[in-house]
Amino acid sequence: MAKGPRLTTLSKVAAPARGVAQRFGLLLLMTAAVALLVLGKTHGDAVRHLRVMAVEAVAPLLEVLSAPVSSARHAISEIENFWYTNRDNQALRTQVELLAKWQTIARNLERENASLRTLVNPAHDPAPMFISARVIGDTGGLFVQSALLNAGRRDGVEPGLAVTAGLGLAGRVVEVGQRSSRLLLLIDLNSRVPVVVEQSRHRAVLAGDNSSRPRLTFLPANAKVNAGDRVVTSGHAGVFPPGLPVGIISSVTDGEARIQPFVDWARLEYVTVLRYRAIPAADIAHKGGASGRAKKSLPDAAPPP
Amino acid sequence: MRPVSPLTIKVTNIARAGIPFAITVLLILAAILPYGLPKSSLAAPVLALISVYYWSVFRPELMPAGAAFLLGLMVDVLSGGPPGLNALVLILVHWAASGQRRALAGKSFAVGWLGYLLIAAGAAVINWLVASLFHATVIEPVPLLVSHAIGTAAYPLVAIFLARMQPLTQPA
Repeated sequence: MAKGPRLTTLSKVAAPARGVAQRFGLLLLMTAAVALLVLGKTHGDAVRHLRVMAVEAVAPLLEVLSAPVSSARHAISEIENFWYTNRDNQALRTQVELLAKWQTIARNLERENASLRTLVNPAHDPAPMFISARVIGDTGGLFVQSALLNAGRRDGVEPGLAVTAGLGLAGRVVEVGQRSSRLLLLIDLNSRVPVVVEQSRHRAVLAGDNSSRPRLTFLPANAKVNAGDRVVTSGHAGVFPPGLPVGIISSVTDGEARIQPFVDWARLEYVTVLRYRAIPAADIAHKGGASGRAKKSLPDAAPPP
Repeated sequence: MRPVSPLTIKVTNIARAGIPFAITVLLILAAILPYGLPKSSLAAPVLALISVYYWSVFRPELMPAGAAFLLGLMVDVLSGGPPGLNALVLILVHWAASGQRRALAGKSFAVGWLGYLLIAAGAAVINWLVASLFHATVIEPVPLLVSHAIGTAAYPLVAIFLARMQPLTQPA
């Protein structure tokens, strides 16, 4: 940049020069932005690493700032709860009656399942470990659907882990810092989740497209799916535990099924990161199918209580 | 009144010149807090856009292109989106707004608003084009329209707030 002019003659020369410098600076900055975009595409990991470091620096501040916001939300929901006590009470009574019947059915099925399991000795899915985290940043924007969490590597969070909120799957962890991490919501453009239609057992991949209702892709051509069918994770990538509720098929048009996720995106506040690792496929291959599986399954093969 | 040393004046003036940038940083940080409101994740880029537009029109010397670039980078880092996307968009907004300031500054409020409507629309188109190229798909444009509508609706409120802040930037 040109220095502050002292002489009038100098300033006469400097003024256009400064204009040129400014225009050049603008061009330089635009080039830098485009270069960043290209780097983000070609060297995604390096850029992601830098981003994690930058977010790490802001995370403590966000954690402090988001605490009062969180309390205010609690206060509001307390008032709401109080206001709707009577209505909720009625609804819950009806639900309890219904669920009591389901409980009997579930007990019977559980017993039956346990006795059948002792007969066939199947491989057990390892039980996931839970890490609770608070949403400290409702980030994202136009084309990204993500949130910042206040748990990181020191809490055991790793990239790729499934994250649930309430009963449903919210997404997966994509970036992890020491004390913070980024959750990619399953409605994001880059989100792909292997799922299965609960009733028909058709496998598919749930692909986010930035709308509030992600699409079911790679559904078999002959698959019959109906609006209202439940969709759960299939556990095929080995990272997500199988059977996590994802959502309900909300519409099927021209063979394209869309899903209404169970998670209420506007109310994402506390989430659970599931530390779950299925037996890696390589492990099974090395140990030779059945024997490898049996070894892994023995310690936790005890039937559920 | 007690005479103020020239150094103090110099320091305060530098601090004052930093106010537009600092306000925008605070707006971005405040915007990403989890309020639990629908579409609240759109707030950060929208507020950054309004703020860069406002200062580029009314005090362009306090919102240089470098500042717009850094603010855009901040939005990009926090959002986890394509790195450099908002940086590019905000530089262009700065360039367009400061270039048209003769037509926009010192006119009625409605003119400023209309200017925002047009420049932000251009920003939305560039945003969509670059993001679509980056992800190599045609991105659903509806969220973009929604965000543009929200931004245009929010402009008066934010602009009034920034106008209140503007006297702070006057050098002593």
